[in-house]
Amino acid sequence: MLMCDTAEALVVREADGLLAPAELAGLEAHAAGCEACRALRAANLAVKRAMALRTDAMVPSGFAPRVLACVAPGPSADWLEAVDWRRWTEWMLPVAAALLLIAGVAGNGGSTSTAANGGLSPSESSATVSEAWTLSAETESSPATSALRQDVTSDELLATMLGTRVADAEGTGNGR
Amino acid sequence: MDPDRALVEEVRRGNQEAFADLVGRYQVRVFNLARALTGNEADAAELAQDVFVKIYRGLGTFRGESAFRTWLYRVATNVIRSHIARPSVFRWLVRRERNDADPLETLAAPGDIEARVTQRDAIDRALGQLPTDLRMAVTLRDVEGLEYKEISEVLDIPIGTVMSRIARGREKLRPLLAASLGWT
Repeated sequence: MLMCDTAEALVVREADGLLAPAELAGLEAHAAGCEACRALRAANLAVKRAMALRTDAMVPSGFAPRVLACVAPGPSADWLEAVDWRRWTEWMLPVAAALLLIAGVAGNGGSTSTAANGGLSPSESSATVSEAWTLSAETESSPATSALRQDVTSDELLATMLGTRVADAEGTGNGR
Repeated sequence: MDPDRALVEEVRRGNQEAFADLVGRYQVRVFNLARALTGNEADAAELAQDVFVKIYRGLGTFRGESAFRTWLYRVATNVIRSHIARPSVFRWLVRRERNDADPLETLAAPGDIEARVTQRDAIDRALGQLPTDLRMAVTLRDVEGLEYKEISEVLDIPIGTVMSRIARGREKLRPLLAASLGWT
């Protein structure tokens, strides 16, 4: 009595036209009582017929010369092929992704750096400093602009840095 | 007697023309193996080139215990299997584009070249949907025409496993082809 695993090999050989008459008879007898093997047999026959219709693809033109150029001795050999650039690229991509991830996490800053800046994140604290230096830029009284002026007195510079005006400091004020 | 033995010895002696002959002898088979297994013509050309370069550089390791053709197929299947196992974003994009193509609806007369190309594309696309192990076995048998024993040596698996993978591979392939070929 034929078992399914034996019938399986016969199914393949039948589709390939390699079955002896006695083997074919045994397979047919088994398939008559086994639905799974009947389905397997039908599928193998059908697929084999379809695969026989597959025609070979033509090799791209210039294929052989390219191969020969890769193995040719001397400096004209393809150095890219020699270093197997595709394999290196596939290996380095995960490394590059990991580095980008680390850079992204570091750039956003951790909780320790935020606490050190009085609750401000590094980007926020640097923005505050920038604002302090540019607040009075329009009135030309920022420390930076004052320092650049050649006619600024030391009292004026000191007053600017302290956020006051020389006139106020001398009590002459503007009538407020 | 291995029909390639003399040519292989010439290549080992540094004869570039002999290697060119070897490439000419097997380029269609290797290219079609790669094409059927990857379903992608660009990948197939690149892989086929890789195979021959590996063959040339590895000829020193070929001890002649098997036929050269068997060794060639072993190298080829290993190269292609590695490629399939490491999908890249670019290969995924190509696969998506190919899946968007219209399936074949009818078989055309054998003399119609365009229809043959379309048939081959449909068959290779269906093959590409099989699990790798089944795909390898069916392709080596039904596309490359290798004997079961040779497939067993190429894939380094028992003959019983070869038969089982071919049987199951064809079974899974049937519905993949049936829709486009109008089978009942």
